[in-house]
Amino acid sequence: MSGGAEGKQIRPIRTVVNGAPIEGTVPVRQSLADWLRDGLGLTGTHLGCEQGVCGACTVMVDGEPTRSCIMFAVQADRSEILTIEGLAGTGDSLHPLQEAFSERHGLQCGFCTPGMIMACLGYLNGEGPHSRSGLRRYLSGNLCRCTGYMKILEAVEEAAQQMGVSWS
Amino acid sequence: MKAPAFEYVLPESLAEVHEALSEARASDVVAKILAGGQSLVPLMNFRLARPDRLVDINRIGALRYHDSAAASLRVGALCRHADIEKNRHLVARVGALADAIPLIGHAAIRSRGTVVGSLAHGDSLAEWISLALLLDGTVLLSSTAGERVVPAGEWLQGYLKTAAEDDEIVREASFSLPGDSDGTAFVELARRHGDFCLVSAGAFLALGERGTIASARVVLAGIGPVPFRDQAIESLLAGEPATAETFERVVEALPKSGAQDDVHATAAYRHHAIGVITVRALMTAARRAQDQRR
Repeated sequence: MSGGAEGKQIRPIRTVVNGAPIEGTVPVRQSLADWLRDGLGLTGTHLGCEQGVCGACTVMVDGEPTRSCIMFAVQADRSEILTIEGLAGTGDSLHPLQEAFSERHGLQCGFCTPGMIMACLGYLNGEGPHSRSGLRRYLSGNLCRCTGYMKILEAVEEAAQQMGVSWS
Repeated sequence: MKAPAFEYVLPESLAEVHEALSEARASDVVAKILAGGQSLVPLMNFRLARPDRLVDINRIGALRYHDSAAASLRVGALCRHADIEKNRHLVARVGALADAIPLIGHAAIRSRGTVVGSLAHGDSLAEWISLALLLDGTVLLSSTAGERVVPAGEWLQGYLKTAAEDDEIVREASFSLPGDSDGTAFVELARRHGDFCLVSAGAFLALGERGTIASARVVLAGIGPVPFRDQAIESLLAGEPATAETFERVVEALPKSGAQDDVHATAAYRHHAIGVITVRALMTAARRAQDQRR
């Protein structure tokens, strides 16, 4: 049968990753997370559960927080992707979320942090009202086994202030 | 935890989807539609599903719509959960949607997962399956042979088993919207937010003169193989005042068997819990119906 049966079907994709146009080919069965990590060397995106539960692999696809472990790379064709590596932009300064996570001790081992920050970006970019309780519900999709979450909540609130996002 | 090999096709039109499914069926190839992939891809990563071919419909933008202009909500095959969630006007109008949608996975799941995909996947604890029963929904299937409509009550036939044939795609789902004197609510009990629930209860109440219940729908999930409308409870509710006393009394008639024991909870716990949340759903639906009349 087709190449699919042997797992060798590959397809071309054209994407923009962290602002840079990228063209390449991907095996159709490769997850977006694996392509980012193994194909592009963007290992900031972490893989925890590989079943869409832990949130560590969260990246932005066309501005929406997305689980990159349960989306195939081939589906990212014609999409814009933002990973933790592209968040701060090109200068030396960090994004307010990164800054706040660092200042407020919103991370310990750091495994969940890239996904956590991309999810928080999704929350802060989303329609309000933004609040502590809304954030707690939102972050139910991202697991952290170190911090107990309190420092993360504080960091996001701090970042919201820096980013001019109204908080109630 | 990587998906097994499959063949990938990316049709540009619904007609091409029909042809791909029809060709697959004729040549004994297991083909699955890939829309949001938020249920299918985890199953593939676990190797619990090994379709030969994925038919990715994400290129067919015309399938990403929802329309609530008429008395029903029509939802196209590519409409994401988040598309409905972001329609503040619609969600404000249908209490059960406002209750249920935030319970579907997490934000990053709802941004990609689709309403129709949830119905097509057919997990008996999925919120949209219960909502389809509660809102008298229908499922529109299409294939090279044409179209057919399946009522929500006949859709789910067992664990991950729906009324769809292998060569059919669920093109659209439709839900009747509640009227001005109707109230709806949806309550579920889950171990963790975003998990599949242990039990859920949906309530629809149409109030008549002096606040008595003109008609009711009660949808229960987690105490049988598939979610169902409890018509015994519904007929007990008809004609009664929409009060806590009524609701506490009628839930005595809920089924006492049908749930299963598992690692998350015992069958007895599920039967107890569904009584509690059914009262909550009915109370909320009644309050919403009363608020609408004012």
